[in-house]
Formats: sequence, structure tokens, C-alpha cells
Amino acid sequence: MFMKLHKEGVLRGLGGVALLSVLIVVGSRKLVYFDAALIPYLIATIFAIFGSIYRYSVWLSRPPTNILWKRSLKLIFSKYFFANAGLVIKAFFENMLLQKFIGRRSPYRWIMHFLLAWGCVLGFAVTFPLVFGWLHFSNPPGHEHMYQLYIFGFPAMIFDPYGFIGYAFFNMLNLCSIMIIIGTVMAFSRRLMHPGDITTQSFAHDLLPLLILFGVAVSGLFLTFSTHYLGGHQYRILSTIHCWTVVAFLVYLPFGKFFHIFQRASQMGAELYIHEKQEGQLAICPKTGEGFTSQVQKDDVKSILRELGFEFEVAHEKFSVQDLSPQARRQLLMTTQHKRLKGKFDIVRE
Amino acid sequence: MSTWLEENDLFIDPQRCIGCRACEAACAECDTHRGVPMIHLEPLDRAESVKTGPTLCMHCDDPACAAVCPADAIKRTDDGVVQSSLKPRCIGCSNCQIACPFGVPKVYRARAQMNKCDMCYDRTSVGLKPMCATVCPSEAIFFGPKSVVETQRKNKANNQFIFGKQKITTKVHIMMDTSEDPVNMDIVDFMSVGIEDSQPWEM
Repeated sequence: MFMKLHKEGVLRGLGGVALLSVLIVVGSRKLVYFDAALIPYLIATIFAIFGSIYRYSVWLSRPPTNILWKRSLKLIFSKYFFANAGLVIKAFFENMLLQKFIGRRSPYRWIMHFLLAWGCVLGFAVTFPLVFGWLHFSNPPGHEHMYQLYIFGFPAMIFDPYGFIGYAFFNMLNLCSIMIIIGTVMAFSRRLMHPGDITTQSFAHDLLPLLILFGVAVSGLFLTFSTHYLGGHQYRILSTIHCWTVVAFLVYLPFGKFFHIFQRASQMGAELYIHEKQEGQLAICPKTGEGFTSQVQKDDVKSILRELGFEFEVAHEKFSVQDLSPQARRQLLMTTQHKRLKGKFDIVRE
Repeated sequence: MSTWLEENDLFIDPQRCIGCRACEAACAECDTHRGVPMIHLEPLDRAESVKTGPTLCMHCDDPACAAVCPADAIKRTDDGVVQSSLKPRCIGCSNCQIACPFGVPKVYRARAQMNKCDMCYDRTSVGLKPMCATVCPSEAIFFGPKSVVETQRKNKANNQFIFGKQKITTKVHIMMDTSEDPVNMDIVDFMSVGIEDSQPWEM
């Protein structure tokens, strides 16, 4: 079994874990501000970091992914650096932060996905630094009623815990939970009612991640509810349940649907290809005369096919069906049938 | 035990196509891509002929579209249907469109998504025929057991194609003159000869 492990992936994963460990020790000031109660979260996070880096490495080693990334870097670091880098930044803003392309698929899906994505991202932004001991709060000397935020052990802002900033800090995870609950309910409704989704979805890839997110968000809100309205009743059990839901999320992260969070970054490469088609040299179909893609992308796809063992090239020539436009390829099939049947229309046998 | 999709296949006979576009309209009713037809129904050479033909996904055994997908977004089911791109993964790069030897995938740039015929998986996975095959008046698109097609028609169902040196085997069959040998898709000949050279009335 171990022979099949991706060696580079293991090394990179271990490297990532080592770097994180160093940052935790440094950021928590030799673990002084590290909260031992959060150890289950930390172990699960380390597993998630290793698994995500490992899977990303394996994914990057696939010829199409590898070539896309190499081509993207080449296009960025070309003589059009500023234009292409600007394009990537714009694409990052539109596709990753605003997720506009999902809105074009469906406004309902955009609201659903935006709530889920930003609920998770804001949740990560709060919980990971706390788990790693990178953030802690303390009463500053002479301001006993105020809180001071420490980042990596360095004193930062002083704020009133009952003011707006304090309210925002201490209720951010509640807000995230509400966003995620609304998002998961919307997603469940869609998955239970949309006939197309019902056909293609699977429990492991589509329903389980929603159940995990829902579990994390609801159990997290229960902690707040217990603190404020039940006087901390059953807090220990609730916090254990919440801990296990978060651990499930982190363990699922590298191998399940959540991995698309990392994969989505490759959309920047797709934007560069599209830009190249608009501005660069076009691949012209010799049959229809249509410029159907960029020369660069066509060459890349042909090299991927060759690398994967496909032999589309016509013997002794570099010409292949991929040099024809999609329209010409469709005509090729019709024409071939037409010629082979010599134009004779088939008749139904009696 | 074989499934409905294993017992039945899709057969296309462009010679029978009358260009009515019923298949396109029916295709748009499919729940996995509602409102947008995935069939390409095109004239072969509008200036020279009235001939039209439908192009559906051929559902290759070893799909080139999936092989070149950098996002690993195209999956083939156990019953041989190559699905549209997975929505969370597809980045709309068009690699699949460039690689497909049959010119099938449709890429929607604004949505960053590739869609294509998934053989009406919402229907065929529960024992119903694909929409296009149910409405085609001339049975240019036919769904059923291969034995039925072989009994009813003179032309033979062929699902093996040669592009260059690459043999492609597909789930979808094209009606040809033989079912024994793979169909040679002669690109060089296609490049040099037009449709006008093989008009039926000149045979």
C-alpha cells in the first residue's frame, strides 16, 4: 500500500506540518498561550493540512493540471506581466471573493454558496489563529475594564469588550453559524427537490458535507445558547459534540467535496487561456477557417493527449483531429457516414 | 445483473435526420441542464446540401475530454455514461472542447462551466429513454437494444472509430455500412474533399 504513496506529496505534506508546528510554537510564545483544551482541534487541523497538501501535490502531478499551472506561470511571467498579473488579480476578486460565475449559473445558488463560503472563511479566520495560540486577549494594565488583543504575542488593539468591536469579535462565530445554517438549508432544499441534482448527487460527495457543516454550525450555536440562556447547562457535552463535528469537517476536508476550495484557484489559469484566445495567436481550423481557440492552448491539449498515450496524430504528421474546429469535427462524422453509405438512405426491413 | 443502460444503447443515423429540431427542443427539457439543449443539430454544408445531422456525446470508453481536464471534473459512470462537468470543480477552461474528437462539449464562459449530453441520465438511470430518442420522428436517434436495430435496419451499428492511430470505442453507435471493422475517420480526405463530391443523386 505504501508503495503507491506519492513521495513528493508526503514530503510536501510533512514540510507543511513542520512549518505549521514552528509557527504554532513561535506564535504562541513557546506554547504559553496555547490552550491545551483545543488539542483535538489542533490534531485534526494538522491532519487536514497534511492531507490537503498531499492531495494537492497528487492533483498537480496529473499532466493536464501540471501543464495548466506551468502555462499560467509562463503567461504571468512573460513580457505582458502587468497585464496578465492584473487579469489574475481581477479574476481572483471576481471568481474567488465574489464568486460571480456562480451567480450566472443561478442567483439562488450564488446566495447559497456565498453564505456557505464566507461563513466558513470567516469561521476559519477566527478559529485557526485561536487554536494555534496566535491570538489571545488580556486586560491591559491600568484598563481593567478593557481588553487587549495580542497577535503572535505582540500587543495590538485595545477595545471595549461591550463595544462594537468586542461584540463583533465575540459573536463572529455566531454570525458564521447563522450564515452556514441558512446556506445548508438552501442547499438541502435544492438537493432534495431539484430533479437534476437528485439524479447525479451522491451521499458521500454532496449530502455528507452539508450534514457536517450543518452539524458544526448548529452545535456551535448551542454553545452560545447554553452560555447565555441556560447558565452553561450541559456545556461540556455540547462542546464535546461541537468538537467532534469540527474534527469530522477537518478530516473530510482533504478528501471530500471541500477540496474544491483549493482546486478553484486553477480558474485563474483558465482566465489566462481565455485572455490568450482574445489577444494572442488563434488556432485556425483548416476546414472552416474559424479561429476556435488559442494556438497555445491547442498545443497544450495535444501535448497532454500525447503524454497520456492517445495517438490522434495522422501517421508521419503532426496533424490531428484536434486541429479541426469542433464544428468541423461534427461534420467529419456526418461526412464519413455519408461517404461510406454512398448516400443511400436506409430502409426499414419488413 | 445488467442494468437498463447496459441492455440498451443509443444509435444515431445522420442519413435519416430531417432537420426538424424536435431533438433539440426535447433535449432542453432534460432536468440536468434544463432550458439549454446539448444536441448540436447542424447542416453539413448549407451551400451544397440540405443535409443535417445531430451530434450527441458519444460517451467514449476512455474519454479524451476527461483525460485532459485539469480540474478532474468529468466523470464516467459505471454504466458507461460520461457526465457533464462537476459544477464545483469545472473552471471553464475549454480543454475538453479542444480534445473531444467528436466536437461535443459546450463551454459557457460566463458560468465557467462545460455542459454536454449526459444521455438524459435523470431518465436513463431510472429506465426511461433519452428525450431526443423519444421525439425523433425519423428515428435518426434511436434508443433500444442493439438486437432490435440490427433486425430492423440494413445499416450496421458501429461504435469503433479510428482517428490517426487512436481507436475510440463509444457507448453510442453510428449506423454505418459495417459493424465489423472500426470506422476510419479520414481527416486528410475530409480536408481535401467537400460534400459536393459525394451527393447521393450522383451515385
